Amino acid sequence: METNIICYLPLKNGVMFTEEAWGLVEQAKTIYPNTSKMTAIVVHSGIPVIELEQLPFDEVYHVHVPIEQWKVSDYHFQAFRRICAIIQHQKEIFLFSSHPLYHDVAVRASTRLGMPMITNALKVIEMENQPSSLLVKREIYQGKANEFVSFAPTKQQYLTFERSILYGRPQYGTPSIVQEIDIEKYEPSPIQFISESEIDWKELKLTEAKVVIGIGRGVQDKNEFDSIVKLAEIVNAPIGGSKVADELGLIPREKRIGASGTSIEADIYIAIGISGSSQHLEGIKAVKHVIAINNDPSAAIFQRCDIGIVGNYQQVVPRLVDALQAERQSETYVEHLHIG
Amino acid sequence: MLNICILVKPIMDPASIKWDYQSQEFSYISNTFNSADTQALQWACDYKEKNGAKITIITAHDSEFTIEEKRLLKYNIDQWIVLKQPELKNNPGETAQIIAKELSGHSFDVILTGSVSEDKNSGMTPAMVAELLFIPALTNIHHIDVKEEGLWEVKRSEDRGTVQTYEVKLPILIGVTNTLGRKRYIPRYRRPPKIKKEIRILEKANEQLNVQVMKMTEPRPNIRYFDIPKDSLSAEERLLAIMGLSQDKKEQSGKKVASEVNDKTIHFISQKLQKWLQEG
Ligand SMILES: Cc1cc2nc3c(=O)[nH]c(=O)nc-3n(C[C@H](O)[C@H](O)[C@H](O)COP(=O)(O)OP(=O)(O)OC[C@H]3O[C@@H](n4cnc5c(N)ncnc54)[C@H](O)[C@@H]3O)c2cc1C
Repeated sequence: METNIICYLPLKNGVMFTEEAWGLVEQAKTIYPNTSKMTAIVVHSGIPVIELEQLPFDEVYHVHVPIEQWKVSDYHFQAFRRICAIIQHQKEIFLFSSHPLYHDVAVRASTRLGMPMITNALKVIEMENQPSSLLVKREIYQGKANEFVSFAPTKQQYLTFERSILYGRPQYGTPSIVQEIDIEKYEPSPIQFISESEIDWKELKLTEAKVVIGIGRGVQDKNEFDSIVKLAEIVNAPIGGSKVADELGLIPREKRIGASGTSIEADIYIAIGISGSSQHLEGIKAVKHVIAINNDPSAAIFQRCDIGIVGNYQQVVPRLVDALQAERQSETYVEHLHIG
Repeated sequence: MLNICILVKPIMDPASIKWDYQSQEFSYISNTFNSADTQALQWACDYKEKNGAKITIITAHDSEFTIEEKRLLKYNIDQWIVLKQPELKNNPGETAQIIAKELSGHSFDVILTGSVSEDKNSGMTPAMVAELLFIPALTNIHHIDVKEEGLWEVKRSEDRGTVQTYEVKLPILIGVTNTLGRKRYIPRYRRPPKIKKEIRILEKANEQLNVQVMKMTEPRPNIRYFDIPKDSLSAEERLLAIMGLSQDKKEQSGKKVASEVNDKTIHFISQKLQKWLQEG
């Protein structure tokens, strides 16, 4: 039986496909590769039709909502239900990103219809001996174990993917149907989007930041501390540090990272003048990428890092700042050229 | 005065859990409550201290699961409803069903809970409960401002570094994150004179499971790779290389740790940093 794989494509600010959307497309293509039809649902706030006509799907259904409404999942849910009324099939699997905006839509839809749902998938494979069933790998107990779950055979299934695995390159195709669904009137939501703001690195909590800078005893002389601050500014990273940095008064107590401080989950951690004691490493267990700058090649932090540089931070950090700044400048220059 | 309901999930403490490689299952030491749920509870108690409120907790758990009641009784709550059902933990979605059923008999102004539980990591219960009750839900909230009793301003940081502000009308279900407030280990609330506790023993759900756990496995081990030392090295050098202490420049080249600060290495780091920055 043909399965219709329906992707609810995630967007940036309602107007742009990102690596996350392409990542979802890549995931979708690995599920039942031979016996399926691919459908895209795009709830957007202004994507040109020409872009939708190039999506790598058999069918594309889209709804245009104003940006203030696009930020509220209630409106996504209403749009989703309208689209679903058109594309009913024999068997369907709906794929979403686990971004809270889409996660809420997926949970509500599956609940309303009483259909099964699996969230935060890390990997999806077809089951041995039962090629029509999927086995979904997900992380439980904060990564202390994995579980493999499967859907009972039902007409519809809902699956959200962990955002960290949704990363892909743009793909193109020629859908046979690209249809806009016009929704004249939405039920007003009691949830209203007010504003969006970037948090300045100075206010950013260690646990919320994408990049965190950690400093240790190695920077106690405070020469070139300015360049660390500049680095923080460029990559929008709050500055935390080791217990020693806290005791030396380089950072406030609440910015201590480690077993007796905060555990961080940043994508990138830049450790400067930190030896990498086991207590400190405890706090950066969940970090994806570690960059270490230390003048002692035997420092334990180098065992944990993805890239390390053996050298005096007073030389390394200013040069890194220069390199990043030069890069940023050329980027803006290129942007200007495009506009001009 | 606000009538607040908090959903608190009793769980096996992830910090105490170890994977038993021999029996291929968990061994665990202690039970606790989902920490984002207790953040919500702490927020509600802080609010109650200042403005007055009625707080009801609902916990739902497996009949066999023992919970540490004392930990919750430290909070300034008025009512505690305990829902016990056999084999609840094996039945995803059932928790939301029994909670929604219980809630349909009450009228709360707001339901607060953690957005996701640390054990199962599914994040389904909050939005599911709301949907079953036909009330709106907003999850991943890290800041709440009560503008008026029936009108709140809440903040959600959905991509790290950006914050969205929403205005919400009550009644609503709000899922919060662990960063809602600073966790206090010894809540310093006035104990209410009497907490009304009700325990409901529910029958095992007889619905067929529509999502089944096939197996559980240990997490992927963290494998760190090192370059294999060349044969030309002496035994001592090889040992140093394996220990990651090699000072040999040739040995270091192409490795993840650069031993020289030059334009090339700085460029490499800055490029990697940019790439990783764009990944998220
Ligand atoms: C119960 C307990 C709990 C603890 N909890 C924590 C915790 O939560 N978090 C924590 O961090 N620690 C904790 N510690 C302390 C921990 O054991 C270490 O002492 C601490 O992490 C070391 O901090 P450091 O890396 O800044 O200092 P050091 O270990 O002294 O390292 C400094 C590093 O800087 C390098 N360096 C020096 N000068 C330069 C330079 N110019 N350029 C570049 N590099 C340079 C040195 O090579 C060295 O590797 C705890 C300890 C105990 C006993």
